[in-house]
Amino acid sequence: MNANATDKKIVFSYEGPFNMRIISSLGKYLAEYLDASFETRMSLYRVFIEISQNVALYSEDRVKQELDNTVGVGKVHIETDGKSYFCTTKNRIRPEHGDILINYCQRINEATTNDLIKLKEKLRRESSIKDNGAHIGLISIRLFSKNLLDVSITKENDNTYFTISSIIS
Amino acid sequence: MESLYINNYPDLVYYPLVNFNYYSGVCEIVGESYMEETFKFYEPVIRWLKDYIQEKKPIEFNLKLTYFNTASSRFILEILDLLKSYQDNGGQVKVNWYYKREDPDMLMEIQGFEAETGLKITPIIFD
Repeated sequence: MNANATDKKIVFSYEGPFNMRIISSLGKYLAEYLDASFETRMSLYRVFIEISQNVALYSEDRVKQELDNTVGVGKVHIETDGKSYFCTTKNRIRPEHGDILINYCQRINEATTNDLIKLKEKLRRESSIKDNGAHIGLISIRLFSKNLLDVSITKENDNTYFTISSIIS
Repeated sequence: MESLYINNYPDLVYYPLVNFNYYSGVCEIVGESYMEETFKFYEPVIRWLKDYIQEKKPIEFNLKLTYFNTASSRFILEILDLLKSYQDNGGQVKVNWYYKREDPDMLMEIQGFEAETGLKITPIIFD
């Protein structure tokens, strides 16, 4: 893949419902067909699935699926500069959740790997069996990528959006 | 009691295959696990294991999961805790986890589960 340090090439970009079939098909492309080492493909795949499932579960924009379930709507964008992959999602959230998410991600970024592993274990033990594991998902993204989370909250037309990016080298 | 075989969605990569053989005691979970309704999938799996343990038969538990999301890891932990408890009460338990040589992150997950549960898990490379 030819790209200089500042040029990025799009791997794929998707906007719409994050249902499981779509997530798994896009993930399959990353895991099996991307021109990268096995380790990089697996790290990117794991980050992608976690980050996408957070959109599916928690986006405030939702569409109906079969059996009266709903699924979240958002955007995912993956690009590469030839050395690293940048995986970004964006979805609408409740305004009151913005600060909570930013603070939580900051806490994750400031923690050591060992602290994060311990925190993940603690949260996992404390979660109920019907919990979807969002808090743990953000920790997993940080651990799988081995890079800091890049997060932001933006306001657009009275709506609040959460954007998270993860770099996989 | 009968064996448990779950392969309801063979074309959906995010549901693993579950093959628990009551007669041989060899139980395996194979594939990937990141379905939406995790509780709904794993509840019968765990219920079967609890019933099997009551029979006081040996168990060889093989995990061949190449990916599992955080929601699934909660149930994997519950399964391993169950096996550890059975072992502590005199049950014959062996746990193997198959992983790819080029996947050090999976080896770390395996070691993490072992450290957290106190259950010996043998990592085995498969290519």
